[in-house]
Amino acid sequence: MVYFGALTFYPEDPAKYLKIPNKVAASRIATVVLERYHLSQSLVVALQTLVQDGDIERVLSCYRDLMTQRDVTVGDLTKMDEGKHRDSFYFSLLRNHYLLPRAEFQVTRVIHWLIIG
Amino acid sequence: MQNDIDGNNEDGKKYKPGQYFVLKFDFSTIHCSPNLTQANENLIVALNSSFRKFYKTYATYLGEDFTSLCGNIDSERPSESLRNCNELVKDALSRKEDNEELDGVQGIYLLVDEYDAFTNTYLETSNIAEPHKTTWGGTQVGLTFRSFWSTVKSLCLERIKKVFITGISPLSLSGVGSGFNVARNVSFHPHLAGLCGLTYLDLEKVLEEICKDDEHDKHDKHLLEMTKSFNGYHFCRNKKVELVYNTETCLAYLQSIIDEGDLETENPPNSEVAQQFLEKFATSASVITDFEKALQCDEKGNYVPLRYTLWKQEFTLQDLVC
Repeated sequence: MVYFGALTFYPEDPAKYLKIPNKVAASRIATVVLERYHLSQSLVVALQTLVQDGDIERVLSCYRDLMTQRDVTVGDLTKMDEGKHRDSFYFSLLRNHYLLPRAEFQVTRVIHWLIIG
Repeated sequence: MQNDIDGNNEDGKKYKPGQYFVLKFDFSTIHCSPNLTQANENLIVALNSSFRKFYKTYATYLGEDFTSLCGNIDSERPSESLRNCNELVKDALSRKEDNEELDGVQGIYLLVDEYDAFTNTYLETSNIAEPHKTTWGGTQVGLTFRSFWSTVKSLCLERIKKVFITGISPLSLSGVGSGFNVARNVSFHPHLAGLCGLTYLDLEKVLEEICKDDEHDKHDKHLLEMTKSFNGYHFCRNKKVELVYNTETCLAYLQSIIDEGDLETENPPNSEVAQQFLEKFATSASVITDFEKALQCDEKGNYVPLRYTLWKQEFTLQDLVC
């Protein structure tokens, strides 16, 4: 990893320690770690990327994963057209019920007093 | 280096130019076809094109015209082309008295750039059945490569006087090249620690020049940004030396300042940290654990050091894929 630029010798004790040299190396290593745990493929992160950067690639990747789980017969593939893909993409990913923000309401705790008659 | 050649240093001229015929090979330009027969042809063509360039440059000194010299190129065996080239140089130097320009010339200086670029492409990810396997093991392209390096070694006793090899990984050429076990790895030699990068002073001077007309004086801002993103390489494991910046990313950044383009510090395209190799490393659980530890920062925001025990000077292609 030293030769590939991911780590370098730690200047204060190069014979015993290595370290990440800079921000660019750290960012690339972090990406690899996220990929390893499949965190970068989470839909929440993919949608955030779409909103922040306009990058649709990750969301499309999530959609591809859904397709591979759902479209398992020849019929699933041949009967799908662009319109169906569009609707699936929209309702399953962009309008997914579990991803919609829910308003938070302030509630008042009710204390029940036991009234002994 | 240029000052050493020109004699502008305190010691005067340290190096005398014109002592060698320079024969250069660049393995990064070879098209790595997935078809190994095609890959072998590409390798042969690329190696032989270096001889053509060599003859074009030195025809005057080798006593024949360019076309005639090219007749010494073996279209199927670059190792034979190299052997013939060595003979031509040997003959030319044996006639030194006919050409006083050759006085002081010692032989061939072989420069090899990115020697591992071609081989790295053919690494296979590990599998349980055959954990030690490269795609080209035992194929013609492997034989061509091995034969080339063993010929280099044998000719080091003749007119190849020096060989300087650069690449990314310390791939053992004794494994790949059938006994090229004469190389010395100088990657982390203290005297060469500054060779592969730019220093703080280098950048400070350049930025002073580039930003001299800048109304907002962004000199310090750029330097700080480049230090955070591109600095930190310490190419010596024996003692503390000056840290260097990644040259390619710095040059791209400086060019963007001049062009008033986007200043890329998050994900620069020319960074040495290749995602492709990191992904291969990340298939190992222990590497992932190390990565996670290394990404932690101390209270000052510095990445924490990782302790290592064994340092391998070189490894083989098989080591890389298992």
